[in-house]
Amino acid sequence: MTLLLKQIFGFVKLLNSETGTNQIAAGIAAGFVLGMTPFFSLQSILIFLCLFLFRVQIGAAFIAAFFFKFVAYLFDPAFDSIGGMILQMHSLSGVFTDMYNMPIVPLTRFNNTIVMGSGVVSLILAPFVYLGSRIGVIKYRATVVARIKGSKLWHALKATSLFKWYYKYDQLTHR
Amino acid sequence: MTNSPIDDATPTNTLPKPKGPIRTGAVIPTVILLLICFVFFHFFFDWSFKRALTWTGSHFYGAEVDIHSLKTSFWRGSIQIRGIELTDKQNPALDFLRIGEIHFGFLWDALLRLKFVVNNAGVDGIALYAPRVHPGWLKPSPKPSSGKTLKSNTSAESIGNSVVSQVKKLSPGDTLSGLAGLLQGTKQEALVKDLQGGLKSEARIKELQTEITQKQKEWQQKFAALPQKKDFINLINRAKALKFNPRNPKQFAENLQQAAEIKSELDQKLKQIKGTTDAFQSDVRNLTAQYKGIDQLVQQDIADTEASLHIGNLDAKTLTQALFMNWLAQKLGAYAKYMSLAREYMPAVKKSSSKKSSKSSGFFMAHARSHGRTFRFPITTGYPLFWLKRADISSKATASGFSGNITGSLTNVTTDPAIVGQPAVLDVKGDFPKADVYKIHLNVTINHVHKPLDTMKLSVGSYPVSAMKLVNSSSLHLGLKNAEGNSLIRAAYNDQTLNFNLQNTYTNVIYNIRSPSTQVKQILDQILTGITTVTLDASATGSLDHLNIGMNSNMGSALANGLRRYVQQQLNELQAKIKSTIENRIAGSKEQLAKQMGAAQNQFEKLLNSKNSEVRSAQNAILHQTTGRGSSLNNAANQLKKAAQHLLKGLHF
Repeated sequence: MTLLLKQIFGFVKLLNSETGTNQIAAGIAAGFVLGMTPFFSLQSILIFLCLFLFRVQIGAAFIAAFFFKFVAYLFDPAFDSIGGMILQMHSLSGVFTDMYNMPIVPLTRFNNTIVMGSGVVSLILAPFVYLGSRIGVIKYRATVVARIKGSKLWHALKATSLFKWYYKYDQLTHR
Repeated sequence: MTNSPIDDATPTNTLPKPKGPIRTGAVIPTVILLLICFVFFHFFFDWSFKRALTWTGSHFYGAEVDIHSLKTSFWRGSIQIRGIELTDKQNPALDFLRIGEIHFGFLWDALLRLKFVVNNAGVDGIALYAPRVHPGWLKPSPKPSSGKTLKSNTSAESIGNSVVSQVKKLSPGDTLSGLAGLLQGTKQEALVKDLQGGLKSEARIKELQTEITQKQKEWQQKFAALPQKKDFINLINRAKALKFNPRNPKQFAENLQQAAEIKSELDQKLKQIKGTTDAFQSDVRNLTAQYKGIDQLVQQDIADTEASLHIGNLDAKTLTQALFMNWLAQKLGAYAKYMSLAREYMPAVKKSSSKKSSKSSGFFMAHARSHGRTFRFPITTGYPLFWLKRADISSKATASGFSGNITGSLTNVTTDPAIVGQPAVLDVKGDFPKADVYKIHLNVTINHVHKPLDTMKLSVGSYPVSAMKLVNSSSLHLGLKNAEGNSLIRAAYNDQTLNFNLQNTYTNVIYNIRSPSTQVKQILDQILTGITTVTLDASATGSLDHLNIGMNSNMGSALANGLRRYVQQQLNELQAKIKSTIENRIAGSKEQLAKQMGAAQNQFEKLLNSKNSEVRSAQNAILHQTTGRGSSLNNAANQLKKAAQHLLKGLHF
């Protein structure tokens, strides 16, 4: 829980800084794929492994996954139709039969309509989500963050000794 | 504001060095985690797994199970278990079964599909009844579930217990102890004690007496409500008062109406009396039948008293059942338990799943789910969850140990026989020279591919029998001290029907007979000394909750014939005494009941007869009145007719 909170605080901090735009965007895209997957399966483990090994903002991924989990529920009927259509494609039946009889691959539960539908849709949309969230983060920084930094309240807060003390502490911990 | 720490720091001095796409900080935790996993699996996993197997095995088997060593290999997917010891539940100082080594390896191809497939396993160094270093732990036996039905509790253990208790119920009880008591003369005292309790016939007589008293009250009430003599006289007087004068047509019509009313009232009263008579006769018939039923209850009381004194019939069947039924119950219970276990863990294909399998050979098969649908594709390389393809069983006897010369195999043990398409077969042959057990041949086939059909054939050419208890009571201990056994068991459990046959022969038998009575001991010694070979043929057929047991033994016949010479007279005397005691005890009350019934019947029959005679006389009187008037009416009509004819003649018509 502490680790999760740390990641979420890290996300908020990074979002309000001037760096890590790609990390945040990649995290949101990964969270999007994670949130769209209905069950805990092999591909979920693979995404978690990527989050762990690559410099992707984990907090962003978690928040995005949490958000998209609710959104995905609304699209389940559509995923079911798309997944069913793909799984029943005659031209792919040989491939699916081979995959079904392979070791490990059935653990992805690709033969479930919602897993297949949501997987295909989320993989297709993931680059767009990445680009969209990148643009969104840049615009957020340019408008919202800049406006906050220009406000009197922010200046007053910066002048307090508590803020100075925190800033020093933060610099020391990240050195 | 320009001196803000942020403004000072941000531009150049504290700008963090750009980091690459790989999270290098995660490498060390990952390495540590992997290292911990490696250390656990390398040093502690085998120990933990051994402990888990020992604990689970002990609780599952019901007695201590020990494992000396266990070795696993991740890369080879293999397990080697050495020194498996299963404590004997009857004698915890011995191991019922000891296996020197079991080794097998799982197929990685199946493991990657989360399935466990063993191509070939080996079982070596099998020993029976080897002494343990320390006595083994025994799991406390559960309370018998006699009151529960098989359906309500379907676990294998409870099915076994249920079969045991059911077969034990068929036992005639400790008949031999009863007969021994009869020889000692203790049964006469026990009879007096036993009869101090209530008798069913006696209780029934008391119930009937109360019922008759109650009925008497009811009858009295009903008879009081019947029409009285004055009612009939009133009706007769009313009938007499009728004139039927044809010259007064109005009065004539009124009299006719009154006559009809009188007749209707009489009919009603007749009906009431008839109803009461019928009800009374029905009650009398019912009470008479119940009175006759007392004789059956007397017979029941005699049988119950005989049973409580354990003096059953002196026939071969009863004595054979008394000797061997409990022993057979244990064998059947164990068989039922293990067959139920096999059905639980190796389930036969069900009707619904057979449809699935037939469809799965097609192109697509889908079934609805709460979240989406799961498609099934044809299985070209599939495995059941667990499949032991073949295990070779071999063992060589050693001079020092208790191991035997065993060869055999166990094939196709699986959790899904429908996929494998082959029955599980255990075929073992061999000898245990150290334990004097020779020519064992065990063949067990568990065929759950379609409908369940489990068969077993076990033959043991020769095995030692020692301290086999047949009767164990305060008045008699009877058993086989030493003997050489020979056994053949055939069993088939088809769907829900069991067919079990057992043929045992015990040769060179030395009996163990102990009794506080020297006479009993001498008699049994004399009877059994000549019988050095004991045969036992037993069969059990039917469903597990309703087994028909058949049993035959020359020991039962010999005891029946032998005891008959010594005990028959005492037995007859005691049976006669029981009969006379019970009959005498209830004779008084039975006679009193008969008198009470007779008196009540006579009293009310007299009343009914008088009522009937009253009715008849009233009926006759009223009939006389109405028919007498009727004849005068007819005469008047005739006279009128003649006058009319005369008048018509005068008018020349």
